[in-house]
Amino acid sequence: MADQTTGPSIPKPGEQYVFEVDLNTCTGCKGCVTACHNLNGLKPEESWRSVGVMESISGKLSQSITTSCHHCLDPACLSGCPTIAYVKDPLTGVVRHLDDQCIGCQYCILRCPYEAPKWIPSLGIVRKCDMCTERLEIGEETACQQGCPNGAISIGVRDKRDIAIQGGWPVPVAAPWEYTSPTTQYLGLSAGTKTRELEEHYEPEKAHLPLVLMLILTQFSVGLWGISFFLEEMKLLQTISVVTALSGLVSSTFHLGHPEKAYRAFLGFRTSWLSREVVFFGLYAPMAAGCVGADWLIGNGWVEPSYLTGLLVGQWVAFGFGMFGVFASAKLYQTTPRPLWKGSKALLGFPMTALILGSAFAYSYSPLESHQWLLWVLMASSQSWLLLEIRRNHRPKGLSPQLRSLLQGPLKGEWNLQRYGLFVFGLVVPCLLLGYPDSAPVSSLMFYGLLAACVFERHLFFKLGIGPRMPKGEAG
Amino acid sequence: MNIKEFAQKFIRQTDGPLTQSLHKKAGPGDVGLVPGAPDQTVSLVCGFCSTGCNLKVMKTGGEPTNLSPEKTHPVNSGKACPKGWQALAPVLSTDRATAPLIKEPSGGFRTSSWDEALGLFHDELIKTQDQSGKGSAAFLSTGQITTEEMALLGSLTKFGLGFVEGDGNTRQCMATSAVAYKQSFGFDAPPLSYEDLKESDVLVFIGANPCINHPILWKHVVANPHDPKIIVIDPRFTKTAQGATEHLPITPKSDLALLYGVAKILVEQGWIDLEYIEAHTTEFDEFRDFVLTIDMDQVCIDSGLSQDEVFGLAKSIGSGERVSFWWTMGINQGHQAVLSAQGIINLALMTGNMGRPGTGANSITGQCNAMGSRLFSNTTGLLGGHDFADEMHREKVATILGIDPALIPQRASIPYDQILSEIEAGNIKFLWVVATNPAHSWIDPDQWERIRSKLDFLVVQDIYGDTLTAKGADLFLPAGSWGEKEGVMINSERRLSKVNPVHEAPGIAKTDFDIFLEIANRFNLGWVEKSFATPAKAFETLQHLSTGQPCDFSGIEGYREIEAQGGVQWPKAKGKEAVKRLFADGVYYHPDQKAQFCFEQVTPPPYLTSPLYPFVLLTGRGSSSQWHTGTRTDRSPILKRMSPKKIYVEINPEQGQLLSIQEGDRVQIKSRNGLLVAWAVLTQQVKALEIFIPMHYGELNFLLDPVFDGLSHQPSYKYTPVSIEPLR
Repeated sequence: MADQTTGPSIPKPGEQYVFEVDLNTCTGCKGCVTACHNLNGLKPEESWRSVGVMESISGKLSQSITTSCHHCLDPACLSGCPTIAYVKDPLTGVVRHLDDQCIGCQYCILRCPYEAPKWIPSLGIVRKCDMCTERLEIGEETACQQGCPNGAISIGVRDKRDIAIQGGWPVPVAAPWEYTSPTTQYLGLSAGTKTRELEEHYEPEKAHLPLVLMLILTQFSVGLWGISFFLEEMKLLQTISVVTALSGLVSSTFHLGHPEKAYRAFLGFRTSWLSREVVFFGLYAPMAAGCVGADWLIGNGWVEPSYLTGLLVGQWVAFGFGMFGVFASAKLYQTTPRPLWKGSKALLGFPMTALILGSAFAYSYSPLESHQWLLWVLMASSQSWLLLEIRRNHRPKGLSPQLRSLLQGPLKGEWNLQRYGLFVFGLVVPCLLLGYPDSAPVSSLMFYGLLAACVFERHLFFKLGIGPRMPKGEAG
Repeated sequence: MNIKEFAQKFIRQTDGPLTQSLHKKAGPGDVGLVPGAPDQTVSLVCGFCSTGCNLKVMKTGGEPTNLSPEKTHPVNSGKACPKGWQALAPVLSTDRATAPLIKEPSGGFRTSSWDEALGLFHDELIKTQDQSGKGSAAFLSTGQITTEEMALLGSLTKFGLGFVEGDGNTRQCMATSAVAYKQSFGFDAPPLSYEDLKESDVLVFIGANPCINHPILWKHVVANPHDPKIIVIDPRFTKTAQGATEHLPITPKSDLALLYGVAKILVEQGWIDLEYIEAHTTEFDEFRDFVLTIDMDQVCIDSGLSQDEVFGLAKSIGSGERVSFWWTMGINQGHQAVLSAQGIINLALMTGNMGRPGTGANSITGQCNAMGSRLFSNTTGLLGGHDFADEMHREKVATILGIDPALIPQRASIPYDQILSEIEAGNIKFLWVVATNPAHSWIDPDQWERIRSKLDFLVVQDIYGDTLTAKGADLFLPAGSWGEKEGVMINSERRLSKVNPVHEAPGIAKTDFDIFLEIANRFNLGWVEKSFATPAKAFETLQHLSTGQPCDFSGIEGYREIEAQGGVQWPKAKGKEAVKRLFADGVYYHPDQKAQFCFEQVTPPPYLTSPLYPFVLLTGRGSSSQWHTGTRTDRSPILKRMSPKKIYVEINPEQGQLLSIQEGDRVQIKSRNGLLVAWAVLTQQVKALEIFIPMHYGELNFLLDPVFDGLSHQPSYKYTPVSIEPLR
C-alpha cells in the first residue's frame, strides 16, 4: 500500500537505491517473478526478475537466489548502448531504459552479465527492471517486494563508495564484480557454492543471421578494397567492394527491432563500440562509393584526370575508415563479458576474414599467374587462422566444458564445415591453383567455399557466444 | 516544433507510446499502482491449492485484466505463490474447450450442441444401465470444483441416476488424513488454525514441504515471533528442511517406526500429559503397552537416524510448550499411511498438544477444495459428513432434499482403485470423469489404458478438451473454470471462502453446476431443482445438511457473510461463534467424546529394494510454478518459463560419481513396471540410494508400484524400487 513511512529514505548525494536480498529467507517460491510480471503489466512471457538455484560443492545446500537488474555503479548496458537509451538516475542510482529511444539492437543483452535487459520480440525493443521507480516515488513497495511472502527482498539506500569498497560478489557464475559493479546486496550466502546446471545451459545462443551476414560482407568489402590497391582491376574490384559493403549495412538493419530509428545509432559514440562501428562503416561505405563514382567519371573522361591524386587520397581514407570499422566490430564483441569473444577470437578473426575473402575473391576474379601471390596470402592467413581456431576449440583450456559439449554435440556439423572448408579451400585448392593457375571455375569454387566456411565460423561465433549469467535451474 | 521538441521526438526520445504503455496508475481500492487502468475489482479464493489465498481480480471494461493477492485477507495478507498470481492465465487461455465434443467412429472428435451431447449422455447411460444394471455406471470427480457442485454431482448421480460408485481424485491426496481423523477423533476434522504456525514454540513437519508446496503457509512460520524450533522429518533435504532448525533425513517409509519409537521414549521418560490422556482419550494403556515393545535399535536401523537424533526429537516434543505437527503427502501417500497419520495424532494426544494455540496434529490439505469434497462429494461419506450405512442419516438427508430415503444407497462407494478394478473386471461400463486427469495422475497409468477399452462409454468433463484423459473420451463436456462460477471452497483450516465469476465461460461452455442441472433435467429429476436451483440455494441446502454435525455451518449468514469476513471457519452453528481451533474443550466426536489411540504393527513396503532395483524413487511437486499434471499451469507462459521443460531426476552427487553420472547427463530409470529417460540433476537434496522425480511429467507414474494404504486406499506414490544408469 502507498505509505510514505514504510518506503526507503530518499538517497542523499553519493548514495543510491539498492536491492537487498536476504538469501536465508528466500525459499525459491518465485512469487517475485510473477508479481513483477503482473504488477508491471508485462508481455505473456516477460518478467524482469528470475529465480535460480545454486548448489554447494561441500555441505548440503540448495540456495535459491532471486535476481533482476542490479542497477550497477558502472552499467555495461549503458556504456554499450549506441543510442544512449539508458540513464543512470543521478538521484536514485536506478538504471532506467528509455523504451522509446531503443532501436532494438540488443547489444545491451550481450553486454550485461546478469541477463537484466530482456528482448521483447513483439515490441522490437529491450525492456528491463526500473526498480518500480513510480512506486518508490510514492513510497509504495516494489512489485517484487509485494510478491515475496517472506520479506526477503527490500530496497535499501547505500553509499556508492561503500558498495565499491565492499566489492565482492557472492555469485560465482556471473561475471567478476568489477566488470559492472552491481549494487544488489545478497545477505547471508555461504561461500563455496556452485550453480546448478539444468538443460537450459546446454542450449546454444541465437545465431543472429543478419549480423553474421553484416560482419562477413563488411569484412569482405574492406579486405577486397585493401587488396584492390595492388591490382590493375582496381576499379571493378572496388565497385564490387562497395556493393558488398552496402549489402552488409542493409543486412544489419534486419537485425534491428526498429530499423526506422537506426539513424540514432551514432549517439553513443563516446562510449559505445557499436556506435563507433556504425560511424566508421557509415563513413566508409559512402566514401568508397564516392571514390568508385569518381573513378568511373574520370575513366569515362567526364572529369579531369588531374583529380586522380585526390581520388587516391580518398580511396586510402575510405580504406582507413573501413579498417576502423572492422576493428570496431571486433572491439564491440571483445568488450562483452562473453568468454568466447574475449582475446583473439574477434580481434584476429575479423581482419583474417577480410584478408581471406578479399584475396580469394581478387584471385578468382582474375586468376592470373602474376596474381599467385594472392594465393600465398590466402594460404598463410587461412591456415594460421585455422590453427588458432583448432587450438581454441580443442585445447582443454580453450573452451569451457559447456561450450565444448555444444561443439561436440549439436554444433559439430558446423564446426566440421568451418574447419574442413578452411583447410580444403584455404590450402588444398590454392595449392592446386598454384600448379594450374588459370582455372576460373576452380578459383570461383575456392572463393565460394571460403565464403561458406567464414559464414559457418560466424554462425558458431554467435551460437557459442554464451555469456555469464545469474544462476539458472528453475527446479524447486 | 522547436528544437527541444524535435530532439525529444527524433534524437533522444525519453517518452513516447512504449514508455507510456508501462505507466502505472493507482487502481481501485487498495491495489496500489497498477498498469492498464482497471476500473473494478472482484475478490475470490484461489483455485489451486488448499491454502485458500484470496485474490483480487482487476477488471477493465468488464473483462478481467490483472490480479493481485488480497492485501487484507487473514490467510495470505497480500501474498500469493506464482500459481495464484497467474490464476487468470489458465482461464483466459485460448486452449479452452468451447463446445461439447463427440468421438466419431474414425477416432476423431466433432463439436456438437449441448442438446445433442446431453442426449447422447442420456441414451448411453440408459443403455448401459439397462444392459448391465444401475450400478454399472460410476463417476470420478475432483477436489477442484465448488462444494455446491460436488454436492450436486453426488446427489444427482447417487439419488437420481442410480449410481452406487463414485470417488474423487482426493483419494490420491487426502483420503488418509480423512480416515485417520475419523478413527481418531470420530469425525474428519483437521483441528488447526493457520495462526498455530505463528503460535508454536516447536513445529514438526513430517513429509511436508510447504516452502514449495504451500509457500503462503511458510510465510506464517517465518512470521512466528517465538524463535521456534522447526524440525523437518523428510528423506529429502527440501527447501523446508533447509529453512528448519533441524532436519531428520529418515529412510523413506520408516515414518511409522520412528513415530512409535518417539512415543516409546515419551512414555519411558514420562514426557506425557497423563491428565489430558485420562480426561480426553481412550485406549492409551493398550497403546503404551504396544510402544513399550518397540525395539529402539530396530527403529534406528529402519529410519537411518541415530539413537541421539530420535531421543532429541522426542525431547523436543516432550519439552515444548506449544508443539504443533504438520503433515502432507509424505505421510498420506504410503502403504501404512493412515497409521502414520495416527502415529502423529497419538503424539499430539499423549503430550496434550491439542486444542491450545500453537498445537495440534494438523494435516495440510492438497487441492483447493479437497476439504469440501471430504464433506460433500457424497462418495465414501453421505452428504455433510454423514454415513450411508446409517438409516437415521439417510432419513435426514432424504428429508432435506425432499426425496424418498430408498433412493439413497445403503453403503458407501468403493474407493477409486476398486472402481478401476471393477471396470477392468467388466462390472462398471459407464464412467464420468469430472475435472481430473487420471490418465496422467493415477498411480497405474497402464491400468488406465487397459480400462479404457473395457468401458462402453467414457464422459470427460473439463475446461480443456486436450488433456490426456479428455483425448480418450467418447463424449467431452466443456466446463466453466474457476473464476467463471460462484460457490464455496474450504481450505485446510476449515475456512469456507467464496469463488466468484470474473469471466464468462468461452463459447458455449457451461459451469459444472449448470451441466449437472441440465443432466438432472434430461432425466426429469425435479427434486434436484428444489435443492440446487442456484449455487446460493445449494449452499443453503449444504447448511441444512451440516446442521448438528461437527462441521455445522448453519450459522453462516449466506454468501454475504463469507465475503464480508474473508471466509468463515467451520463449525459455525446457528447462534454460535465460528471456531478457530477445534478441541479447545477436549471434547471429541466419538460417542464417548474422547479421542482414540489407533495403532498397528509396522510392516515393510510390499516391494522392497533389491540388487536389481537398489534405489528408492521418491516423487512430489517439483516447483511452486507447477500444479499436478500441468493442464492449467502449462497454459501460463510465465509459469511455464519458470518450470523445468523436461523430466529430470535428482541424484545425490556422490552417488552420481559412483555411477559415472554427471550433471546434465541423460539417465535411464527402470522399475518392475517400466522405464523412463530423464536429465540428471546432482543435488545434496537427496541421499545416496534415493532419487527424486517431480510428478508433473506424464512418464513418471508408469514406473510406480500400484501400492495402496489398506485403510484409506490412497496410493503410495513415495516408494518405488528402481535402477538407474547413464545413457551414453
